Amino acid sequence: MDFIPADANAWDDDALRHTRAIAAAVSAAVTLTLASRLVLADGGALQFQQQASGYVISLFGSPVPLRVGPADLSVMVQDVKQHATILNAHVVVHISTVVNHEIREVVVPATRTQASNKLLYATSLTFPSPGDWNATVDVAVNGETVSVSGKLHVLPERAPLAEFWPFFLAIPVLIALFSLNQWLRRRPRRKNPGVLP
Amino acid sequence: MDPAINAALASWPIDIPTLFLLILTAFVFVRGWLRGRRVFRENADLMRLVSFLGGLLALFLATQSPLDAFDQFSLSAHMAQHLLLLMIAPPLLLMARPVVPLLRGLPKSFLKDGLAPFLRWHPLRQVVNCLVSPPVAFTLFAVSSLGWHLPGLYELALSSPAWHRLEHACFFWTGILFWWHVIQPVPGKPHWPKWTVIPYLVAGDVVNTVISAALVFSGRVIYPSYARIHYGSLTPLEDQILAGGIMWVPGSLIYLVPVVAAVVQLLSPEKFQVATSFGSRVVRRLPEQNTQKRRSVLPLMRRAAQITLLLISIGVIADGFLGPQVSAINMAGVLPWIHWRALSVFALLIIGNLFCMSCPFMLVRDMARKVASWELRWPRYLRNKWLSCLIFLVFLWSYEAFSLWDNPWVTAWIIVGYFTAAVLIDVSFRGASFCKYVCPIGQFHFVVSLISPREVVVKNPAVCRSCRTHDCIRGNDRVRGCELFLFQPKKAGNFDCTFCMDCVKACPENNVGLLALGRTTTLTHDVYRSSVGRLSNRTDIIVLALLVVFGAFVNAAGMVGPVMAWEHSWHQKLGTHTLPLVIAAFLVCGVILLPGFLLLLAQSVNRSFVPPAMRSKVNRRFALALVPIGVSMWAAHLLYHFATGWMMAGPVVKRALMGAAFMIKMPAIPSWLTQAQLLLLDAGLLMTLYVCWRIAKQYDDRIRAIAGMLAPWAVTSCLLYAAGVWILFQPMQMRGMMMH
Repeated sequence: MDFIPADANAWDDDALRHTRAIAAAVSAAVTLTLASRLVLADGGALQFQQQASGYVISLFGSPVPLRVGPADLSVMVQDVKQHATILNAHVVVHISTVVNHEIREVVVPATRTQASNKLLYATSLTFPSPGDWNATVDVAVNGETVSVSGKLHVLPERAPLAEFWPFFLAIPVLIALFSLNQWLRRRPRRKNPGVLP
Repeated sequence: MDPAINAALASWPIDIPTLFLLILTAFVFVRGWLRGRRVFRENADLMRLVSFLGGLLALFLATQSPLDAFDQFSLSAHMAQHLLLLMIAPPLLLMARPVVPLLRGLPKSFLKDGLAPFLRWHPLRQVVNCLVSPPVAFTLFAVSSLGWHLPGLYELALSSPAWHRLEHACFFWTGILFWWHVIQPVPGKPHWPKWTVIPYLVAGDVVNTVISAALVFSGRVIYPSYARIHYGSLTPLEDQILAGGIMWVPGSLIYLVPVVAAVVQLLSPEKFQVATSFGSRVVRRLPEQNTQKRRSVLPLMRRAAQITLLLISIGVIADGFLGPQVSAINMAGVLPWIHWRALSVFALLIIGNLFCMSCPFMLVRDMARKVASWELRWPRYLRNKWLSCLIFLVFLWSYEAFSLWDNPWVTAWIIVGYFTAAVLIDVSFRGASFCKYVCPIGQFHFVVSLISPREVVVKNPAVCRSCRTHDCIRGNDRVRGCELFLFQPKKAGNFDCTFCMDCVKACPENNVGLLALGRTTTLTHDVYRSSVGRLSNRTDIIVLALLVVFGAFVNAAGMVGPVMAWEHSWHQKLGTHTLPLVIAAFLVCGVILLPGFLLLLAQSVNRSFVPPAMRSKVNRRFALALVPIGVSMWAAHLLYHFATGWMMAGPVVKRALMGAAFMIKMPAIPSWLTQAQLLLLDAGLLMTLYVCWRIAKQYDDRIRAIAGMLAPWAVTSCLLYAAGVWILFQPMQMRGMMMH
């Protein structure tokens, strides 16, 4: 037997009735279990890192680069000496910008429950407009509050076609594959299909 | 345990598409493995399964575990991830000799018609032969391993998720190519002598050593990103040395242990030769299926589902009449419009017509029939779908014109009206006249069920040929027969089938069951169907299908910003109380004039390809082919409402039952939603094009004629797809969420 059997002649459709049911149940259970994780934020790229009162505070943002629309911001709080992550802080992220002489501000708490990396404090927010945004991270830990600030550069929103191009490209690609499939099926078959390695 | 370690171990950055692919691959392999095991007794069978699942587990750990969560902060975590992708997952997967089980695990028709022509294609085989030949495989492996660890490319991967995924894909696939020569996972004579494995593996270890040594001995932090983030007790340089150590020691072992094994095997070939399982397979006799003893539990499930839905309906009606008249906090404003509509369409796409199966109206009707039943005949002139087409059209209009979704009191009245109509009609007339000729929900489900994957169907036609009692349609002492007059041996497809399971219960041979059906079979095969006839001869069914298809786009468009603004501008121009007229005009244009115009256009284009006598019939068949794109639009639209409003069910029911007040949270639009909607539309368009192509091929085998017949319908379906994409990218009302 020197080639892959592709003629599907050894099938027994009844044999796998139970596995289908089990697989469906497992998939449903996994999907349901993980559904709650869909809202978790992720780290992204480092936006700025600063020291204040014995703490190192790093702000990460995703998508990379930041764009108008939904975004995830994550904060890592470490002590300067040990670089150990601080897990009992209360973190609030403020972002603000000025558009047409009008201040736009968003204030959101960041929590570990929203983060997929549980050493970070994460939050989801929406950047309404492009440009430079001021970001301030307030960290309250052990009765002490420290703040660090930095700039976030937010690019304009991508056009939907640019954002979702794989979904549009998939259609001509699949049609091309189907056409090739039909062309191959119409061709007269070779007697020896050759050897797959 | 240290809280930081606890937190680290709790960090599982699950990526749903990747996880889904892993589960799907495991499912296909296990399916094929079980099939192979049933038919052939293969050596080391269980080890192959363990090895494959182990390989998938390694992939899972590399991409979904804390290693992935920490790869941006710790080079050692990142190198452990690379180790899994390059050196652990590929050999484990290949040791399972996965090609045959994976092929066996695929659906037979897909393998035979879809994949087999590619597998037989000589140029493709040559490309694969070339890729797995040792010089090419080693070169790709070395270039990928060394290249991606250069600081520039490595930093690029760290800064961009897309490049990072590409990097990992390169590692995994070049790992597969590299280990192919070592493991030889496909049966047959190897192209290269066995001794070549030894220098090949040693060369692989040299590549690994170069990377590891660079990390250990460089004396400076090579990748600037890790220098910026000093994480944990290790300095970035110490972390880098640890990363090099991980690559070097376990990595070298992975290369050198097979070298030792190969040397031993070459020196003592007979003792250590591993027999290929494919050479010594033994055919096992299949156990006989005893279908007689396997009684179906489906009818019992139906009754339980009906009772559940009846209780929910009573709750919805009560809350609609007595509860607060704010749709977002009323069961009647949330459950029917957000949950039931979406779930019934998803059930139709995943299984079949589950809502009609568990319809609470029929439960009440059955109870009423025990009190009174007149058994009149349904008027002959109404034995078609025209009445339900009209009701469906009126429903589409009134839904928008009177904001039914935003009016719990009216919603409760609609449900009461439904119960009343079902009881009155079915108590007066024989059979399930309400379901077959009146119910617009049922007709909608019948159209969507044309592409459902399951069908209530005869298991073995030979058993039916010897049947003389025909209990499936006539019934017997215990059970009634089919109330929709579907005779099982001549039933084809799901149209007019409510999944009531009466035929399943009635068949004395237990020869009727819920079995798999090709999704496009009903649309591509224009056969005679019991109680329906040929679909292409039924103008009423074609019109109903077109209403459902174009209604999907009109209904979704009616709740997006630009269309609503257009409707309101006309409303202002025409004066007060004219909004229902504007909406009616929009509806008439969208679901009557537009499809009519497209049908005429298609007919005129097809004139040169289709004989005049067949033109009308051909066009009707093509019109039905639009059902998948229409259904995908319904699914994409209802998914939006479900994804943004599913969490309302719990608080609303709690409020209705216990009077508990709750805050309405600002709903979030999940980041995956647009992608899922586009996937649905893509699937709908491709299925429509495929059905069109299959229909065209039945009339002419020449490519030119097929293209000619196909063209107007392909253009129509592409236009519908474009309209669907445009609608999805517009701001849409979150109905039932106080976000009007």
